[in-house]
Amino acid sequence: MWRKRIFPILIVILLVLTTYLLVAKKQTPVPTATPVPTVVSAPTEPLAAIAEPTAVPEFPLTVTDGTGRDVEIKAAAQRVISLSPSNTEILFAVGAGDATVANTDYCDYPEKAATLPKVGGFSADSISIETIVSLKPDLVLADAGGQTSLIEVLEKANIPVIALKAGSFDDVYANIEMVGKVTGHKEEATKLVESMKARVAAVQEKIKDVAESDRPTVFWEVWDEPLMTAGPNTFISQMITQGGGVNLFADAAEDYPSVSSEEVIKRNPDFIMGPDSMGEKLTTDQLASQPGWDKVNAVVNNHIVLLDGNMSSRPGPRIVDMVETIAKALYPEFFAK
Amino acid sequence: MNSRKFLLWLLILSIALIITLIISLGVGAVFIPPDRVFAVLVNPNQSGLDSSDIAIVRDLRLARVLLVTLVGAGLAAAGAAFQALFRNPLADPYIIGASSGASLGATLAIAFGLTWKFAGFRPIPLAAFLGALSAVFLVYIIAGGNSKATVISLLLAGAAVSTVLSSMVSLLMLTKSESTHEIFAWLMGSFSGRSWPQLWSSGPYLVLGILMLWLVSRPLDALSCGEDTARTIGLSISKARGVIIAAASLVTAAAVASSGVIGFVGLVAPHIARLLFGASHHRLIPASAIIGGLLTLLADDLARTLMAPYELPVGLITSLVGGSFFLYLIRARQRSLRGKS
Amino acid sequence: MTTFAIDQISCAYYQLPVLSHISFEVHAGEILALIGPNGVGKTTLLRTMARLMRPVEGKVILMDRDLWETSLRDTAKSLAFATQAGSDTWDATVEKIVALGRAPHRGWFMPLTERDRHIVKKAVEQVGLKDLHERISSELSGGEQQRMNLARVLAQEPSVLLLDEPTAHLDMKYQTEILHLIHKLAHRDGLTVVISLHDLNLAAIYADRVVLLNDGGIDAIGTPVEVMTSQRLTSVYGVPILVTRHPSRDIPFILPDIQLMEEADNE
Repeated sequence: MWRKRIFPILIVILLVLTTYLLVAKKQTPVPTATPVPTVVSAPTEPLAAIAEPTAVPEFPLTVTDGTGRDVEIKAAAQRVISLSPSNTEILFAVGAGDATVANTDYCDYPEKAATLPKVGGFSADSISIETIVSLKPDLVLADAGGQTSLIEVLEKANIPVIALKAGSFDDVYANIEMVGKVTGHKEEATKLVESMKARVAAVQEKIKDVAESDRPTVFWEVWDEPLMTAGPNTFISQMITQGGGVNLFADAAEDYPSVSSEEVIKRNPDFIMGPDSMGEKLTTDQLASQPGWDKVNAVVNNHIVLLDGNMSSRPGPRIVDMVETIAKALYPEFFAK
Repeated sequence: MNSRKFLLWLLILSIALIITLIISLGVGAVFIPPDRVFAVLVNPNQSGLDSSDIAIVRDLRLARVLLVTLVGAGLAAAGAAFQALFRNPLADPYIIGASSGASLGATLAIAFGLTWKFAGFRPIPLAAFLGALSAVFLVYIIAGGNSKATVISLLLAGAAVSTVLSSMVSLLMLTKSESTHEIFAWLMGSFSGRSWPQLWSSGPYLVLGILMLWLVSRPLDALSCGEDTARTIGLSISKARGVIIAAASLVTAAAVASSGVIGFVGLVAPHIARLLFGASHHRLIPASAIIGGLLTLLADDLARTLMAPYELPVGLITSLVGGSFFLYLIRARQRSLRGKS
Repeated sequence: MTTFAIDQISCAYYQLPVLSHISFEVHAGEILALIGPNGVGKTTLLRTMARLMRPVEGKVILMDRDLWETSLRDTAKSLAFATQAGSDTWDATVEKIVALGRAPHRGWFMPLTERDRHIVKKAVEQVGLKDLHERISSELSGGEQQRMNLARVLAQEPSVLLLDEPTAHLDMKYQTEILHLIHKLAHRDGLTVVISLHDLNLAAIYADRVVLLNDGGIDAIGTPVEVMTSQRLTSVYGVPILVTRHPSRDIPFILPDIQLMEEADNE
C-alpha cells in the first residue's frame, strides 16, 4: 500500500529536482551593469540679451515615433537596445554603435553588432522583456510593424521606447535623423541622410533621359510558395523605381500580395529579381524549366538577378546600396566602369 | 488515510508549492538567486536593491507565477470534477467543448482585430472566455438541456461541437494567413507577457470556480457511484450536473482566456492526487488543485528557461511531460488489470 | 397510515409496456418478495417504486404521500434502494461509500457527525465487512461489493427498504447472513422491506408475503404457502415444478420436477 503512495511522490520530487537542476544550469550570469553615467543637461540660460550666442541645449527633447507616440528623451541615449536589424544598422551608421548594449539574433551587420548580447528574435513573442530590463537600457528601438505589444510593457518598466516605422524612403531618412537626434549624433545623421540622397540623385541623373515607358519592368519575387511580390508602397518597390525600374505590380492594392504565375507571365517582366535567400529557386534554369515561364522576357534574356537578402529587406542605410545595384543591373550601359 | 495524515501531506504539498513559487520567481531568462527574490518580496524599499531585480520579480514575474499556479489549480479541479461527472478517467476540462470554443473566440479576435474590452479582460482573452462559455452552453443544449441531457449525450455533443469549431479555426487560419502565426502561438498555450491585468481579470473566476467545485464534493462523490445510486440518496442529478458544469466551465474559461489551451494538467493532476489521497472529492479537489498548480509552475519554469531568451509555449511542455506520464498511467493500469483475474 | 403501497401502477421500459395496473400494499415490519420469471419486470417495478422511473400510470404512496410529489431528498430519508450489483464502482474506500448513505440526513455540505460515523460503522459491521472497511471498493469481489451496497443502504436508516436481488453473487454463508439480517431488520426493527428474489426457496423461507408476477400483471399475492403451489408455478415458469413441504417448517419447498421432465423426454 505504501509503495503505491511513495512512487508518485518520488516522481514529483524528481520532477522538482530535475527542473531546478536544468534551470540552474541554463542561467546566463547577470550582466554586470555598467554604472549609468549621469548626464547633466545643459543649464538653460536666461532669455535676456546675451553677448555671445550660447548653444541651444539639445536635451531634453520630444520626438514622435512611428506609432504616433510622443516620447520624451531626457538625455543622449547611452545604453540602447535595438529590436530589429534595420534599427541596428541605423545606430551604427550614425555613430551610436558604441552606445548599443544589445540587439536581436538577426542583427548581423556591421560585424560588431553580431557580437553584442541578444535579447531575442524578431517577432514580439520571441523578445525577452526580462533580459531587456536586466540590461538597464535608457532607450529601446523597436519596430512599429510587429512589436507594438512590447511598448506598453517596456513603458511600465520605465524604459523609453521609440518604435520606427519602415514604409518609404522618406520614412527611412526620417528614422535616421531621429535616431541621430536621440543618441546625440545629430550631425552625423544629417550628413548620412544627405549623402544617401545624393547617391540616389546621382543614379537618377544618369537615367533621366530614359522615358518612363522605356524603363524595364521588374518582377520582385518575395516568396515562391505562394508566389508573392511587393506592392507599390513598400520600400522594396521604391528601391526598384528609384533604381530606374518599373514594378510589374505597381497596381497592387496590398503590400505583399500573392499573385498567380499566369499573371506574371502575361505581364512579361523584363527583369526578375529577388533576395538571395531564394537561392536555387530563382535561377534561369530553374525558371525556364517551369511551363510558360520559358518565353518570358526576363528568362529569355537571362535577366534574373539575385540581390543580398538582408540589404534588400532592411529599411536602413543600405537601401541606397540596393538602388545602385539595381540601377547597375537594369542599365549596365550607363554604369559600366 | 486518516484525517491527520491527509492534512500533513496536504501541508507538505503546500510547502512544496510555495518553495516552487519562490524558485519560479528566480528563474527565467535572467537568474535571480532566492535571497534577492526574498529581499524584493519582503522589503522592496531597502537600499542597495537592484532596480532591475525589483522590476523583474515584482512587475514581471510575481503576477505571472501566481496566475500560472491558479490556472493549473483550476484546470486540475475542473478535470477532477469532470472525471467524476462523466465517470471517465480520461475526462479533462475541455471534454465538453470549452477549448474549441475558446480557440474560435480567440481566433476571431485575432483575425479580425476585435477591440472590445470588458471586466478587465483584453479583447483576445475576453473573446476566448465568452467563446468557451458559449460552446459549453451550446453543447449542453444540444445534449438535451437540463432535463434530458445524459452523460453520453453530453460527451457526444461535446465531441461534435469541438470538431466543428476546430475546423472553423483551421479555416480562419488558412484564409487569414497574416494572423496564422499569432493564432497558432495562442493555441499552443503560453503565459508569456501575462501580468497583473490578466491575474486580476481571470483570477477571481479561477478562485471562485475552485471553491465552488470543492463545495460540491459530496455530490461529486455521489455521482461517482452512478446516477441511480446518487438519486437514491437524494441527489437531483440535473441540478448537480448543472452546477458542476457551470463551475468547471467558469474555471476552464478563465484559464484559457488567460493563457490559451494548456493540455494534460487537468487530466493528469487528478490522477496523481487520487493515487496519493484516494478518491473522496473533499480531499481530491484541493489536492488536485495544489498538484495542478505545482505541475504547471514547473512547466512554465521550463518554458521560460530551456531556450532563453526565447520562451517555449507552456502547452508544449505540459503535453510532452503530461503525455509521457499518461503513457505510464496506461501501462500501470494494464499491469494491474492483468494482475486481476 | 399507509407505509408503502403502489396503486394501479403501469410501467414501461423504453416505451415497451412491462407491467400493467399493479396494486399492492406493504406493511411495516413485513418482508414482501417479488418473484417471477426473468424479464417479467421485477427490476422495473422496483425502480419505479424507488422513484428512479416514472410510472406510465398509477401512484406510489410512501407514508401517505404520493412519491412523485415528494422531493428526492425527502424520499431518500425514508426509502432506500439497493440496486443490483453493478460493474463499475467508484474507487473510494468502503467506508467512504457507505458513508454516502448519510447524505439524505446530513445534506450535501455539512460534515458528518459522530453519530453519522457510528451509524456507518455499525452498517459496515452488520454486513460483515468490518475487516475490509479501509479497502478500495474496486478491489472487492462481487459479493463483497454487494454487501457494501447493502451497508450503504442500511446507513440511510430508511423505514422502507427496496432490494433488487441482494443475494445474487453471494455464497451460502453470505446469502443466509444477509437475509437473516434483513429478516431481523423487518421483524425486530420494524422496517418495511420489498425484495426481489429469483431463488424461490429463499423467498419461501424469508418472505412474509410474496407477489408472483407474470405476463405484465400479478398472478397471485399472498403468503408463500398460498402462492407457491405446484400448479401455479409450473404454469408461470413453463417447466414442471414440484412443491413439497419444507422438512422442518410449515413452508413450501420448491424443486424442479425431474421425474416429470424425464418422462416427457421419453415420450
